[in-house]
Amino acid sequence: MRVLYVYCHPVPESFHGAIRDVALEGLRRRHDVDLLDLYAEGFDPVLGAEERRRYHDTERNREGIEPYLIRLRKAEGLVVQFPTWCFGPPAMLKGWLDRVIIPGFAFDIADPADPKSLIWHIGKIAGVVTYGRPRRHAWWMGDPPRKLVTRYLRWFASAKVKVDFHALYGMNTATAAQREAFIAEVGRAMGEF
Amino acid sequence: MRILVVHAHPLRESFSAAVLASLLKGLSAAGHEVLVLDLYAEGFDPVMRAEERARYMERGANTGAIAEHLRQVRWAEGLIAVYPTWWYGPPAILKGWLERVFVPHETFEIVDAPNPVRGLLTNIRLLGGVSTYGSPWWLVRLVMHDPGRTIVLRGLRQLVAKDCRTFWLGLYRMDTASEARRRAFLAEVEQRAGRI
Repeated sequence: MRVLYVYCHPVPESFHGAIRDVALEGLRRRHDVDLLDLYAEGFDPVLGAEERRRYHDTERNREGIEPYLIRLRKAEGLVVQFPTWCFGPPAMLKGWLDRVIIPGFAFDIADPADPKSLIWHIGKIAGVVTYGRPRRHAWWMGDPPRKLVTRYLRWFASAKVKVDFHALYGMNTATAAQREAFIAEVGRAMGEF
Repeated sequence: MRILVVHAHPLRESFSAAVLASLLKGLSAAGHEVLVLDLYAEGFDPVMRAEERARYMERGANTGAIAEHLRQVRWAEGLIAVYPTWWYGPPAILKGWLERVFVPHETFEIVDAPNPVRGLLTNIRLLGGVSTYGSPWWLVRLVMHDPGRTIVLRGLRQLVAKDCRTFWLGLYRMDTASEARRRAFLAEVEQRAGRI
């Protein structure tokens, strides 16, 4: 299937870079993968004034953002990989959601009381996320990264969607062995995606 | 008290701008000294890039680009965020401000203790927020746990004075809100600000 891999980390030689390489290797064995590297592509996460003015105008709200919409439209599988910054996804990824998940394309709010997804063609979702602090801290904060993947993105996908969440909590104190184990876990999971 | 109000909406004609105006009216009636940080008007860049990320943990080297913002945060005795909730969180421009400005060694220290975060912004004695939501409150609060509210009232809460007071006001199901309900919300915001 066609998988859109949304990757969000600024430093290529980081731990996240290593995770991504292994994940892509696993995925590419069986799938057609489109890597969307938000930092490398210089994505602008700021939803600006003009764009906001025509946000609800489904005839005009795609202007300037079409290439990103086409890539999402083609996706049958979606993977998002990011570090947890300030308890949630980095601004870069938040801005991708702000700008790409728009009415008339990703959802229909003709009846605001009964919104419907228009990107239900996504049948499989995975999140690959690291947290600086231990899981109990993330839990106390409501764990926004986990909910983003397992609740928010899930809503848009098909009713039968399969959602996986791969998390490394407590990165600040993780040992080299724990990090290696996480990379291996992600590689395995992506090989079976 | 000295209050920093952070606003994040691109349009002056927006309801969020009206919320900001009501808040400022209330604050000024109560005699506070207010500084408004309008992230869109200022053209704030929310993206933490590779170089900045690389020196994020480095004492003395992680404040270069955001020194002025840090100065504003240290000046404040109260911090209030005003923004529309987009996809269960603050707009990227505000999320990026939180990421880039609240850096270690300046706003908190990581210590070896059961609670590893020691806040350094003891100048702040009030944290608050006013936001609008497309979703009903139960979806925002019970299902998604309102990440924006949680970042301010639980996350930033760890960085500020121990006896810090907090408040939050939300207008839910904004897309179907009647004119009367919107007006009532603006009045509530002004009144709440006036009691600070």
